[in-house]
Amino acid sequence: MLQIEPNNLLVQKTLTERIFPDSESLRSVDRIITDFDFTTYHISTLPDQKNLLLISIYLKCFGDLTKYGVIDYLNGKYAKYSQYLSVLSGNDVEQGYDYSLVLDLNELESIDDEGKNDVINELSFLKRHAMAAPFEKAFARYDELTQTYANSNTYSEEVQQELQNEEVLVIKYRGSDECIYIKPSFDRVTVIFSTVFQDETDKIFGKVFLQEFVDARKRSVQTAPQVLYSHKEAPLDIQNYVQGKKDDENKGYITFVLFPRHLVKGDRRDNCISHIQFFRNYFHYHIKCSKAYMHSRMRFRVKEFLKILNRAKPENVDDEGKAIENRKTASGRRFDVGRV
Amino acid sequence: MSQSLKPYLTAVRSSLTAAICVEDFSSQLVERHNRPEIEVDNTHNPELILNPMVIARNENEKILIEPSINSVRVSIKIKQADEIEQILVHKFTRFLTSRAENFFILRRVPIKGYDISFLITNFHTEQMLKDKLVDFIIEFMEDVDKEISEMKLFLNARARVIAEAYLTPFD
Amino acid sequence: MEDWRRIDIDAYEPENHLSKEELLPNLPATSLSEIQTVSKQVRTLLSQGKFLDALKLGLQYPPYIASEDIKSLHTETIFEILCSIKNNHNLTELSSFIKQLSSDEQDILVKYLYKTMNTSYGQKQGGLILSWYEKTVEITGLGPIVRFLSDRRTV
Repeated sequence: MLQIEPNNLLVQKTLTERIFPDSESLRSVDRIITDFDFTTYHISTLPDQKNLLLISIYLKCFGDLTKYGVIDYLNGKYAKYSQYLSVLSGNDVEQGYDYSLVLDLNELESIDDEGKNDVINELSFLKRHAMAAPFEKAFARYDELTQTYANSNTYSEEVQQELQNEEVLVIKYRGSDECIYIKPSFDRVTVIFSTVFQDETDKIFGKVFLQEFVDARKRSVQTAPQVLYSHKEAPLDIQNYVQGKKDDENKGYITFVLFPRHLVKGDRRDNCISHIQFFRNYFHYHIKCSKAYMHSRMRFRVKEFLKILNRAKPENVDDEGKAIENRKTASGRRFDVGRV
Repeated sequence: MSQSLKPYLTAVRSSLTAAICVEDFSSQLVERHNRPEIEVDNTHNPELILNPMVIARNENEKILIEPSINSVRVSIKIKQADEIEQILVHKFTRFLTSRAENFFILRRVPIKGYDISFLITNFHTEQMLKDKLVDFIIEFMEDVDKEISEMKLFLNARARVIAEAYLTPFD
Repeated sequence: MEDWRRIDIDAYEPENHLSKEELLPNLPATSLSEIQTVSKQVRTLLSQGKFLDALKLGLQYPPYIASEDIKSLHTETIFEILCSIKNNHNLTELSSFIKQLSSDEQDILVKYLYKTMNTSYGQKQGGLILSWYEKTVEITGLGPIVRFLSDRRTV
C-alpha cells in the first residue's frame, strides 16, 4: 500500500451496510470512527427515527477552516443530494462535532444503486472536502491574481511588493506545531507544511526522504511540483505566521510550489488538492514503515548472530539450538565439555 | 571485500586468539569472590591486567582488546560515515544489547568511545570453543558492516520510490 | 591442594600487593637526547636508502623506562621508518625485511605496531600498519603478540 486513500474506508463501509442492508429490519447504528489527525466521525441513527442517519465530523482545525469558508464549500458540495441529504445548520450540529449531515434512508430508496453509491462515496470524502476548502479558496485567489496581473509587468517592484503581502492561509491541523500554510500568487501557489519529528530516528529518516522529494523533480518527475526543505528555520514567506516555538530542533518545513499546470480547473485541480493535503500523513506513514522494516531486519540479524554464537558451544547443540546426541570428531572421539 | 578489510580482520583474529587465554582466578581482595578482573578497579592488583591493544583500520573503525587473567573485554567501534549510519548503528547496537542475556558474552553497556563491547570470561571459554568465539566476533564485525550499509541502501531506495510515487500523480 | 596450613596468608594483605611501580622492569632509563640522536641517525640512514639499517637501529633502543613524551617521540620515529619502507617497496618485499630481524627485534616491532594503531596518525594510515602487521604475524606466528600482552617492558 503505497498511497493513503483520501476517503475513509470505515465510513464508506458503515454507510454501505446501512444503505444496502442484509435483512429487512432496520437496526439502530451508533458508531464512532477515528481517523488520522485527531479527526472523528460519528454515524448514528436518530433515537426515534431509524430511517434518519446522522453523520457528524470533528476536525481539530475546523476553527481555521471556518475562516476560509468551509461550511459554504461543504454545503455546495452536498447540495446536489439535497433530496435526501440535509445539512444541519449552526445550532443543530451535533454536540462535540463540527459539521453534521442527516441522510434520509426512506427518500434514498427511490434512487438507483449507482446514485446510492455516489452518495456513499461523497460522504466518505467528508474530511477531504473539509480540508479542501482553504485550498479551493487559495486557488480561486490565484485565478484572480492571474487575471489581475495578466498584462502587467510582474517583475516591477510594486507588483512584487503586493504579491509579497498576499495573505497566507494557515491551517493548524495538528495544533500550532504542525500546520499547513498556503500562499497564492499570480503564477503559482505555495503550500508549506510544518512538521515535528518525534525522535532522532524520525528526523534522520525524514531528511533522507525529503532529500529524495527534492531531487525527484530533477531526476525523473520533471512535471511535479517543486519541493524545498528547510530544517528548523521557517521559509521567509510564512515567518510572520509561525506560532509556537520558533527554533525547535525537531521541526521541519516542507515547501511545495504548485505551478499552473497543476492548477488547471477540473479533475486535475481536485486531484491536486486531495493529494497534497495528505502529504504529512503519507510522509510520516512511510517513515514508520521504514522503521518497522529495519526492526524486522534486525530481528533476523540477531537470530543469525545467535546461531553463529551457538556454534561455539560444544555441548551438542546445533545451529537451531537443538541438542545433538553424540557429536564426534572425524576420528570418532567425543567432544568433552570443559576441554577447550 | 575491500582492500584493507582482510588484513584488519586477520589482525583482529590473531590478536583475539592470543588474548583469549584465561584461567579461573579468585579475587585476591575479597574472599570467596570470583569476578572478571578486567571489570574491577584494579589499583590493588595491577599484575592481573595485561597490556591492552588497539587494532585500527582507520579512525572510525577500530577494536580495543583488554585482556586480564580471567577475562577479556573486546570493544568494537563500527564504521559510521554519516548521520544515517550513526543512527542505524545506534539502533542496531541498542537492539543487540537489550538482548544481551541471549548472547552470553555481550556486555550491556559499551566502553566509552566504542559502540559495542563483549566480555569473555574463563567461564565462557570453559563452555565454548575458543576458536569459535573468535569466529563469532569476526563474523559479527563483517556482518554488522554489511547490514548497516544494506539498511542504508534500502532506506535511500525506499525514499526514492516514495518520493516518486507521491509526486507523479500531480500531473 | 597443597597443605593449607602452610599458605602464607599475609601475602594476600592489601599492603603486600604488587604496586604499579614494582611491575616496572629494572632497566636503565632512556633520556630525550638519546632518542633524538637515534631519530637523527635514522633519518640519515633513510635518506641514504639504508632501510634495513634504519629499522634495526630504531628497534635497537626502545625507551622502556622513559616518560610518555619520549616514548611517543620514538614511536613517531618508528612510524616514519615503516612508512618510508612501505612507500619505497612493494608489499611482498616487507616479508624479507621482517625475516632479517632477530626474534627480539620482531617482538619489539609488534609492540610498536600495536602502539601506532593507538595513535591518531597511525589510525589515519591504518592500511599501512595493518599490512606490516599481517606480514609480521605471517612470519612470526602468535608468539610476539602474546609477549606484547604480557611484557611489562612497554614501549
